Amino acid sequence: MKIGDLVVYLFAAALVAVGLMGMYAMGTQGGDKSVVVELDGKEVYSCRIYKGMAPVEFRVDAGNGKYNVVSVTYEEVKIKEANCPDQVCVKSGPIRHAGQAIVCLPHRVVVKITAGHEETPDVDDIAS
Amino acid sequence: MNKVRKMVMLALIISQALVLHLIEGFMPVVAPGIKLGLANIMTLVTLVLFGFKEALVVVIVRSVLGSLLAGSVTAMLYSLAGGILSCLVMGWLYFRWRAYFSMMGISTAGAIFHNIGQLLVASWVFGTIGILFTYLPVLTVAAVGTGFFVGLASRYIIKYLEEQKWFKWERG
Repeated sequence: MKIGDLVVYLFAAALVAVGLMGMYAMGTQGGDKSVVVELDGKEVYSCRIYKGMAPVEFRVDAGNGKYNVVSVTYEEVKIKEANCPDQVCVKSGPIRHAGQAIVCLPHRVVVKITAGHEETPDVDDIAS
Repeated sequence: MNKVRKMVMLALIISQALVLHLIEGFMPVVAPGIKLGLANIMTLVTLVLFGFKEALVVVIVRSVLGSLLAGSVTAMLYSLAGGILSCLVMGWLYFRWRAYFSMMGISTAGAIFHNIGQLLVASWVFGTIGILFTYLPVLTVAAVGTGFFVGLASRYIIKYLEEQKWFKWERG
């Protein structure tokens, strides 16, 4: 092993650390989490995740008969079923923390967990 | 090596890279985005035996043809971004800092930047930087492993080719 290889490995270790820190930083903003589903970069569905919620399961229609079935529970979010050719989104398994995402490249679908919950204003918000 | 012979050699290399690229598509997916990067063997071989410009040509032609044969337009975008970035980095390391790197180190750096290129395009396509952070750690760990063996393989191929009489004669 030459000295440059060591630099490459150190660089790799630094990247892993930066990635983990980024994930951690995104995961610790506020306590509330919500699931956001994006199709083609546009938000098509979102719902809050809270303790004691009933498990939700819904189908994302990506057009031309393409679909992904997303299952949301308090513990985890996952793509249960999809008819994409590579099945990467199904095999990538459940996500649990804010900042994580499941991506289905062929259907251009992103399922991500975000921290906090902005939309659906309550009645008292109208005054402003 | 005269022009025609060089073109034929590059065509052979591109077709081999293409076959490796396609075989890789049949491999089961362990985790999203993790691939062996077998086609990178041919990029490295071209880089060392022919030069930077030729390696870039091999990468671009392989990505475009590979995506046309098995894949989609988005796949081509990812493949091109990753391939070109990794080729630039490997070329820079090889021609500038060759003395300090082994083949394995250069190939690992190439694999890491291949992932970075793809993740950058992915976060651009999907409009979230979150993808970058979620996938970077696991992909980088994988790149260190696969990069090592890709480097090892290309080292043996380069050594073999350089020892061949016909190849020496070709290079003049």
